[in-house]
Amino acid sequence: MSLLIKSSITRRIKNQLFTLFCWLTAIVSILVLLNILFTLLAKGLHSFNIEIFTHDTRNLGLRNAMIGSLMMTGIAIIVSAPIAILTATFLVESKKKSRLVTITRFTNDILLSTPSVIVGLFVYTIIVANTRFSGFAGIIALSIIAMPMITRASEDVLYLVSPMLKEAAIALGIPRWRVIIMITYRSAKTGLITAVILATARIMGESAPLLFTSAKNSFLSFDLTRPLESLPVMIFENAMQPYPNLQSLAWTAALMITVFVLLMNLSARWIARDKT
Amino acid sequence: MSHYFEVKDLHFFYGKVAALAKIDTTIEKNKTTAIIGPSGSGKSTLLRTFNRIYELYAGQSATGKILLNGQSLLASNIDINQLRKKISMVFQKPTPFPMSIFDNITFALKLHENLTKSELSNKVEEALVQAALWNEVKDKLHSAGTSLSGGQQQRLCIARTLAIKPDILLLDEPTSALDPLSTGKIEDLIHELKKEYTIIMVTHNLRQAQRISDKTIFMADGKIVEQADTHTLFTQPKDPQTIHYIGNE
Amino acid sequence: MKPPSNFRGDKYFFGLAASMAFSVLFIFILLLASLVLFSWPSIREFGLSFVWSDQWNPVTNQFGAWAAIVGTLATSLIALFIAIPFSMGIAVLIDELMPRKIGKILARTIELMAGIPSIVYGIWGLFVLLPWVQQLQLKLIPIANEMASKFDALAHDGSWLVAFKPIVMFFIQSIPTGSSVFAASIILAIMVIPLISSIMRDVLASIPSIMKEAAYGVGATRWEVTKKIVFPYAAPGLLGATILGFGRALGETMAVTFVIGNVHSLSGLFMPSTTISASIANEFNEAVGTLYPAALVETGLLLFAITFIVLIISRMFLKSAKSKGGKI
Repeated sequence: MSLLIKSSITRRIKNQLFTLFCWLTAIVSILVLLNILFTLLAKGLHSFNIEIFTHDTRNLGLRNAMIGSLMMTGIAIIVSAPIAILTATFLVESKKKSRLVTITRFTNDILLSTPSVIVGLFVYTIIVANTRFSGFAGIIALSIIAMPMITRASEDVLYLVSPMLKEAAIALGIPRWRVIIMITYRSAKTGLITAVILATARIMGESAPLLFTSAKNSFLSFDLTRPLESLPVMIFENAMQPYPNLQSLAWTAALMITVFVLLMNLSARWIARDKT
Repeated sequence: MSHYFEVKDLHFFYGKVAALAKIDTTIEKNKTTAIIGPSGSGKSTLLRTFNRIYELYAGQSATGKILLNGQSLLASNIDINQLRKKISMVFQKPTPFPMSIFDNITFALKLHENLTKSELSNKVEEALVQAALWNEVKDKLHSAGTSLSGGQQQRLCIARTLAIKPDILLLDEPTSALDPLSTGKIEDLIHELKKEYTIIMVTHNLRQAQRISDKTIFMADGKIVEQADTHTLFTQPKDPQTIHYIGNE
Repeated sequence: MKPPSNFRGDKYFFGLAASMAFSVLFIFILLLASLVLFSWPSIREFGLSFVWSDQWNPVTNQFGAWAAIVGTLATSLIALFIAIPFSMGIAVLIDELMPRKIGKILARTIELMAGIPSIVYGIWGLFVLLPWVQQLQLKLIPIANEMASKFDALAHDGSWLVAFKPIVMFFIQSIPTGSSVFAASIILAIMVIPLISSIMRDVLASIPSIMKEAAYGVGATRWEVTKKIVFPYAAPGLLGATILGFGRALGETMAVTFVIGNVHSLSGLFMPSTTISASIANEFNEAVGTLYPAALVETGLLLFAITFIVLIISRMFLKSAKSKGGKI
């Protein structure tokens, strides 16, 4: 009888410890996250003033970095999104279970998990080594990173479009390519947009691939054939400098990127909300 | 004597597996023909050979002859999109396109013909009237097709196919996903449509087949077991399989 | 019937889509080829010994990837060590312990962490984590000194216990700047926890509830059900999630660069070191000549190979988890 009670207590204690452990992991993780966010806010707001938007990095501003980042991210997405969605369409709509489909999907996954610094090296070797650091090279590097992301997400979304819906359109005598563009894409519109937004958020914060492609430029420039400043690279260059004002500026840049990324993620979440 | 719509020695394969064997039948113009049978008997498969929609999927093939007014439909020089304009299909579940009611109907129409705005509006009204949906949606033609009830959506799908003026309507269990009231409305509709169109309908509802079809084809295991005009098939079935199936209703 | 008309549209469209798919293959092949080409001077110079040589001297042009490889693997493994229990705890919490709504909020919050760019982790690590680690190191130094002198005494006495010195010192010796393998591992852990826990959550959610209910039905506690039923059943999927996180940690650059110290050696948990990606990020733009950049690119090639293998392995595990039930 007493043995029974004893094992109950041991078991119960083990269970409590387990539950406690699970809660602790979550609490610690949240605390770390909060620490990061608060530090970001505190240190980032320190140098946050109107001059960020009017001065360039050579004058303790972030104007050229912001413009460079927006330009390269924007163009990279404009370039990579159509290619990625068409690739996903190919993967989903191909009639035959051809080898090309499997190989493409696999290769896409490889590119997806390739470290971004390797992509940067790649673009360096084929473009920068033969020309010079440039915004173009940066755009290409970012496109190569964004493309597999969008392809993967688009494939998942396009796959979910009801085959019956497609058949209903085909049964009306509509050619397949029109069915895809006007029915399938429309049905999957929300998912596709979400995929693109998430990819945009991701490449906005990428630093490693830009280090060897668009490099840095402390002057304001819209010239894509020359080096271009960007927020992530600016942080890399300045965070480790022994000058407090440069460090502070780096924090501000970090805050701006994070705000942008969080806003993009939240809006993607909001767009994808269940509208039923 | 040549018939309006003829199927001769049709075989259908999923890869190497035969799903339909030696199908021979004739369909008369402006009549409703029902295809009945247990699940897996090949009813839908047969229907889907008529508009060659199986060609969307790799590994599915058909041999034999399907003739419309003497012209072979399985021939390779046929324009498939034109074929599907003439022989159109309505599915089990309502499938409204993600657009307005108006656009749903004009979607295929615009691709097949070049019409002015007013001509389009007329055609939309005509189709919706024929599908017995006009009164219910005439004030909200630009709201989403998906905002309608299930029965209304299915009638929208029917209106969609009517708009392109097919000759033959293929209905694949058109009321199985609907409530009895909507089912009744659509059955009345089919009865009306017979005057202008030829209807081939798959159904697992024997009462429905009895109510609205002129000829009934009973299938089992990918073959046609018995086919006759509806009254005869249901009152004097000849094949034991038919007797068993009908008796169990 | 008219002859085929809209088939042309189909041909053009699918031709376009197929060529886009080809571009994926093209990019991959080009990537592989160009990296090999660019690192050829280094491959030719050092051959296979590049992999196990721990020389890294830009002045004498002697390069070897060993330190970087070991640093990469060590930091990622230690990060996993920390991340696995955290990820599992969070996954179990969300899947079982929390009411639906709160669980969703926690899950969303963790996902938010995944969205923060790695350079933000990097700068946070530089200014917040490093000082904290530095404090830890300062506390360790007197202990390390004590241990060192104790071992010296043991050596003087000829005791066999001296053999343990390297191992013990590995874990406690330090240069109190904060930059260390330890700091890098922590940052990597923080970065992969969202990824691993979310996949684990999906794996846990895909377990048929009948299995759990049967166990609870005979009076097992939550811990017992988790340990004896859930984990064994979900093992392939959990392992797959872990390996995926490992692969992610291996390639992480910016967060690690700031806190690892960039020294081509692995001498202790609290000593500075380097990883392949960190050394590339730090040194490539300043690498002069042809051999130095080629050597760096060759380390990148090695990293690519390692992450490729890890990807394959993780797919194997996640695939078998998929076939067991539920969608991952």
